Order: sequence, then structure tokens, then C-alpha cells
Amino acid sequence: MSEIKVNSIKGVGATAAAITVNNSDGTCTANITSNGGGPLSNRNMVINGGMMINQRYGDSAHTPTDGVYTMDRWQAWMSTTGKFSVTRSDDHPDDFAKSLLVTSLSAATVTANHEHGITTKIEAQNMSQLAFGTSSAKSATLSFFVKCSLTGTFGGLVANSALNMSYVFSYTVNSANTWERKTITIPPTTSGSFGSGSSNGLQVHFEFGIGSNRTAAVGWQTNTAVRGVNSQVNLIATNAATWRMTGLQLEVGTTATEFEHRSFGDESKRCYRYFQRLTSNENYQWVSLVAFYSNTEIHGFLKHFETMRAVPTLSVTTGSNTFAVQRAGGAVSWSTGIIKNGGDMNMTYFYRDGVTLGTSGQCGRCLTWTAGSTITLSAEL
Amino acid sequence: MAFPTNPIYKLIKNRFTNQDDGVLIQIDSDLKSIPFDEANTNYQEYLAWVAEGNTPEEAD
Repeated sequence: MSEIKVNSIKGVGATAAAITVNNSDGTCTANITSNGGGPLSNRNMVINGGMMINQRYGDSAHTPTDGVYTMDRWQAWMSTTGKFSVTRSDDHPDDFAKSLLVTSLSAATVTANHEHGITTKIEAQNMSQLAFGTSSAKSATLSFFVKCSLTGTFGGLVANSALNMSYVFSYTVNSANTWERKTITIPPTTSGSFGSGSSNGLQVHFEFGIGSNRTAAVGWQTNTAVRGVNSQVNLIATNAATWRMTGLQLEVGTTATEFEHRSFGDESKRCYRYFQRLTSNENYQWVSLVAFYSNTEIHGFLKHFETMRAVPTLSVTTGSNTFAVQRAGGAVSWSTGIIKNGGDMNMTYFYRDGVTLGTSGQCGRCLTWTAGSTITLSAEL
Repeated sequence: MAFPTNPIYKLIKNRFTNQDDGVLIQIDSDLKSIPFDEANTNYQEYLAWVAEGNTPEEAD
């Protein structure tokens, strides 16, 4: 073992030291301008990479259909339904709080044209530091922790929104049911269009059941049908097989730095840009003050938790007595939900008509009346 | 406003401006109000549906 003892390190032509060493306490002051080619903070372009946020389902398992979001920022892609569920799991490496669990629901037969996986999308303006598709393109590094009941080679993609420029990656699970960290370096690409502004710029996809005609070798490629790597393990072909992942980080440069832990509050706010669940599953959740435009029409508003990426879609539960209004004289419930009546990225206005609700000029409060009635806002990519 | 039935989408007329500014779609028990915002991916799906030659139901 050797040891170098210095009190500063200075560039050959520099006038100031790059690193100044404290001679007594083992610390130093360093003039660092980059971390492996990437920024010093906000290195991770992935939102909810620590898998803490699941506004839709909490800790409950959910069997998604194609295009449906599961945990926050994670969308399911599939050619056949009912093959896997997604759950926020308490099984995680010691320095994490949660993981994303995919469970195979059968021993599915995977044939040509099949795809089954999960994807997270990154806004174009949040990945512009990669400069993909330009002559200044940089390398990127994807890192994550994975624990799988099966061993072997697994695959996925890092792709633009059109999927006509995608980097096929592979990783090997060496030991079953053991947390392992995987690091994938993605070379720069000067080709392809990676969007702009608030559009979908880049998507990271993990594949669990793919037809052999939709795989490719590791590397950049342009076939829009490809979702995984040649000869990869198909998780959904083994009944009850499990795959857990957390600590997903995508950063500039060729070095996988430590996962950038963010607080639950910070991560929640980032997720609210794309999806907001305004009510829990409980009944009697206060939704809004409302004014009676007429005896049969109420108007109210929903203030968003955070400014959303786009003017959001309002989704509400319909069914017997799902919503009600309380005003002088008591409560009246109805089954037909509420309807958006304009708004922007910060506010949603709504109305309900066609129901005898009260008296024109009254005011009251609108609330969920039955357990399970929910209101959500979505501006997903 | 009554639920959209057939076709799948039904236009929403803003109660203040009296202009169409969104579409409704009912999927199982979920009623979605989709705004006319080109950055909204649900609206992009609606535009693709219209581009296939479909026509939404008029607002009430």
C-alpha cells in the first residue's frame, strides 16, 4: 500500500489549486465542476426511480392493461393482458424504502409479435443535457438495483418517443432472489429526434415477454417494433416469477454515481406534474365549494397541487351515489360524476347538471359520497 | 349532460363560453373529461380517432 501526502493539487498551468487538503483533519476543499461529465446535482433524469410514489394503488397489486399507468411515472405496455401485476414492494436494498415488483400471473406462451413490459417517460426539456440527436451528443449511464427469481439475460430499451431510435440494453441476473446493482453505459447518438419542450423526449423500457421477431442485439437501432434484447429471459413464461427493481437512475456521462435520493415530498411534487389523485378511497371527501347556477346545475373548481405538464384530463368515478352536494336543507347525491368546464394547468373548473340538486343561488359543498369514489387529474406523457 | 354512448366520444360545451372545449369518454365506471390541449395525450388519442374517420357525438 502506498500513500501520497500533499497539501494541494494544482493544474500544470493553473494559478489556483484544484484541491486544497486540510493538513490535520482529513478533509479537503475541491473546485469540482462536473460529476463524471454530468451535473453536480439533479443528476437523475428519472422521476420516482426510488419507487416510493404510487398514488393510484398504494401497496396493492394491480394488473394493468396496455397503456395504463401503474406506480407513478410507470406505464404498462403489452400485447396480451393479464400476464403480470405491478406492486409497490417493501422488499428493497437496505438504503432504499421501496421497490417496484412485477409478478408473473401464469406460465404464458410468448409468441411472435408479443411484448409485455413497463416504461417510464422523460420530458424532452428534462433530458436535453444529453444532446441526443445532435453533433454534441453525450454518453448516458443507466443504473438500477434488481432482484429476480430467475437468472439469465434480461433486456430493455432507451428510446425516443417514436421508437425509431432506440438503444437496446441487456443485463444479467447472476443470483436468484438477490439484490444486484446493474450499470449500463449508453453511447451518444447523433441521429434521431428526441422531442422538445414538454413532449416525450426519452423513454426507458424493461421487457418481460417478447416475441423473438421483436428483439435485437445490444446497441442503437431504428426498428420501431423492437422492445428487448436477443435471447432474453421472458419473465411471464414462468408462473409466479418475480422481478423487483429500484434505484433507477439515468445520468449524463459514463459513470454510475450513487443513486440520488430525494425526499418523499420532493418526489411527490415531481410526480404531481403528471398525475394527481385529489381524493382517497374514503367516502365524504370534500371536493369543492360549489355554487348553484340553477336548481339542477352546480359549478365548482379544483386547485391543482402543482402546475401540471399540460391541461389535464379530469377522471371521476360514476355509479350509484358516488358524489353529493350538501347545502341548506340536506344532501343530494347522484351517479353521473362531474364534468370539466374549462381550466388550465393550475386549475380545473367543473359542473354537474341534469340533477335536481337545490335552489338557484345557493352554495354548498361537493363531496364524494361512496367509498371508492375518486377524482384524478392526468397530464401524463 | 348525459353519458356518451355511441360514438365513444361526446363533445363538451363550456357552460360559460358556449364553445366546445373538450370531449367526454366513459370507460367502465370512469368518466374522463378531456380538454382540447394538443399536449394532452388523451386529446392526441382522440385526434387520432377522428383522423380515422370517426365523428364525436354533439354536446347536449
